Amino acid sequence: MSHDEKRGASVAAFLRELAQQAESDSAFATHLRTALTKSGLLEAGADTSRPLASAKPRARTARTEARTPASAETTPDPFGIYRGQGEDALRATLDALDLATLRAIVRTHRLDPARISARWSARDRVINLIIEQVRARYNHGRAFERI
Amino acid sequence: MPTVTSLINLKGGVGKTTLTLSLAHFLALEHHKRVLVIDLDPQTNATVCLIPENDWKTRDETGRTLYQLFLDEVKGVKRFNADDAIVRNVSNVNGGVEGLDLLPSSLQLIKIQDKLTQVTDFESYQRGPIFALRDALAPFLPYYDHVLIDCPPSLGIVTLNGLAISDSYLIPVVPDILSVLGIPPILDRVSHFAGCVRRNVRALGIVISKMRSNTILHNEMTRRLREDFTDRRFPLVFNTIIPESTRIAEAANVLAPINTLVQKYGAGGPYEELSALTEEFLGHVTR
Repeated sequence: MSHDEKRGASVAAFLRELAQQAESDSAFATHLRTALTKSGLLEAGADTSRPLASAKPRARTARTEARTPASAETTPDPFGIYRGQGEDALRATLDALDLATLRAIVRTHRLDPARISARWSARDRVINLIIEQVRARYNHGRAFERI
Repeated sequence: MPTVTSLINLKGGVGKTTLTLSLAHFLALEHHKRVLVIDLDPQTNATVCLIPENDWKTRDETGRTLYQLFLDEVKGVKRFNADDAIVRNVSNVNGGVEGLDLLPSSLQLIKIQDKLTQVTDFESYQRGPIFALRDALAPFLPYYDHVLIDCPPSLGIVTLNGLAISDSYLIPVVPDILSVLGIPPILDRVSHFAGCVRRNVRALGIVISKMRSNTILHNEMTRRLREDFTDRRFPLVFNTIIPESTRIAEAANVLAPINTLVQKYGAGGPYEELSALTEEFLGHVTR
């Protein structure tokens, strides 16, 4: 492991520790959020010439879309679709999405913690991964229902 | 013959299954050892972390889990066949790890535990199916380098079957007040049992797991555990500490696509600690 990789791993370990604590301790998460807001870091990347209240989202260009993929709010909920409409409907929904959005779904729901699919370029492969993982999670524990 | 190690604590949720599974994976994949995981816990968690739950269900319905072994003891018949019950090359890593085998548990053990207890004498161990597992596995154990037994959080008849084939045991603990309470009774009862059945079952050590190093309680309890070892009250506390980690929790998903242990446990985090724990385990278990 190179020096830069070691440094990257240390930073990642630190951020993971912070995230785990925030996940398990809601008071800590609130303190963290307050501190972050007060620090002004959240606005550091924003256009400071305009008041925040009137700030409008920048139009998504092809370039920014590639760099800032769809968020949890803008991606379809695969679990909701699977539960409400079934596997065929989920496949039809996923078929209509681009690769960046499919990857955002995978990331948002942590369907591939090892991020193996990040290297896949075939949409079908990512769609199959989403369906397999959603089906597995949805049916998780079914075998335990009757003993 | 293999080294046989039980992972045991009377408290649930202390990382017994997690440590059993990670040790098994690292021994098989990084040290090229032949490993058998015996899941004695009726919760069947180690089992469904190594094979899909539908596969387990099919096996359970066809007498190929430990339920059949203990049911035979209750009914006085011999239907269990260890060769059929052992699942070879399990895990989701690379579609299965060569040399990593599983003897699956069963939720149905819950239904017969009481019956097994009723026929067992827990003071002298002269009566009861204490050696059912030993007898069933005798022809197969020599094949392995290491056998790891995930015990339920009790010292009932099922756990005793595991101890009856063990040379050592590990005690996983979360460094908090309740988990540590489970240590003295284990030391006492295992020693009593080992004496009764004339077997040397040594306490290999305590492994601190689910550590939250940013809490005063966990740091304080860790310090006290090490002091208790120095005072010869408790066995050795392993140097390696396993942190509380979402990544370790996610590793339980047997259906996740995974090719390597780094992918399973995450680089720069639990992977390093679990790898170090395995090295330390090997240093102690083969001593």
